[in-house]
Amino acid sequence: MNIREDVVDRFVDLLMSDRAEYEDRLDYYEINFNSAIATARQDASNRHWTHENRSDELGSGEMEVSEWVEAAAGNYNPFDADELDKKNYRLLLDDAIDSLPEFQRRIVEMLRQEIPIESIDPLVDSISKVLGRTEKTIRTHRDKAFVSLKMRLECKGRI
Amino acid sequence: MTELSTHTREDVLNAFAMDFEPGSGVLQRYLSQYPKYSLQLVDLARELSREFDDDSPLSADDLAAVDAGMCRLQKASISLYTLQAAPAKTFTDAVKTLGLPIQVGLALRECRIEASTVSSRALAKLARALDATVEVVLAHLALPPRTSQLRASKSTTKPVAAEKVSLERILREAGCDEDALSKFFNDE
Repeated sequence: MNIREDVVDRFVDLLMSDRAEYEDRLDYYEINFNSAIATARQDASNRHWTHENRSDELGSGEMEVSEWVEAAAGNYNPFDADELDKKNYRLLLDDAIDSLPEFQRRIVEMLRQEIPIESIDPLVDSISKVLGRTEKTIRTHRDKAFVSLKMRLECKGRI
Repeated sequence: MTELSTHTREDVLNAFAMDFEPGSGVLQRYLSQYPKYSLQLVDLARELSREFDDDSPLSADDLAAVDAGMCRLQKASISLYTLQAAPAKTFTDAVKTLGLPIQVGLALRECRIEASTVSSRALAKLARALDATVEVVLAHLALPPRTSQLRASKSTTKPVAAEKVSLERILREAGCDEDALSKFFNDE
């Protein structure tokens, strides 16, 4: 059973459960179906993803920043506001983000949600703090992720 | 944002999904408030940020998934997940319709019956009584055996690890006589 089948299966389970007796978990679907599906999809991903799928080539965590990666990433910003206005770009970007290793995907998502890489304010959560890695490691993987995204999107003829 | 003082993981993630708006600082607030769920929150933010292409027609795979779901609803057979989460009453009611003692229902629920000791005919009867498919019942029986925490806490004897036993043994221990056993195992 794949993730999509799992999500569908559980949704049907809720519908069937509701037939027998009021199922309050369906309220959530009624209020915001897409958010409820997103949550179900995340739960299903957690159940399905094996350690192998999650491999994120982290290594020592204190690797040297590759000059090539840094140069290739340059000033590239996948969240350019003009590009994000285009629906097709957003769809392609989602696909490209999905292809990243889990560690990089989390970094990219936090950057998208404007979480800082590092913060001197202990009350402000940073990517470095959430992922338990140094700022340098986060920056290295951010650059790697951006290079991957750029290459994937270029392949699709978007840039 | 509502503070969830006695929150569960599900409560926090559901509340986050309801509050979430891309780039509005919601993730930052939840990360500060619920650090133990930080990775799940980040992963959920990823799902919530996903772009849906509602304009495209459903693919053949999508339609097949919808058909399969509708088919299940129409047939009303229950899944392994539902069976695992079902209360004891579901099992005891089902075995009662077959004229079996409730001990069989409890053993069935707790996955304590060795599947290989249940004939295909008996299995089909149990599946029908549970509104499940034979495959789902078999998958349920293949799960590790467990004991009811509630019944264990009421017991005056020292708890022992649950083990799988034959259906016949459960029936005998429940006081079924030879006639009843023969009727269940041989009755068409």
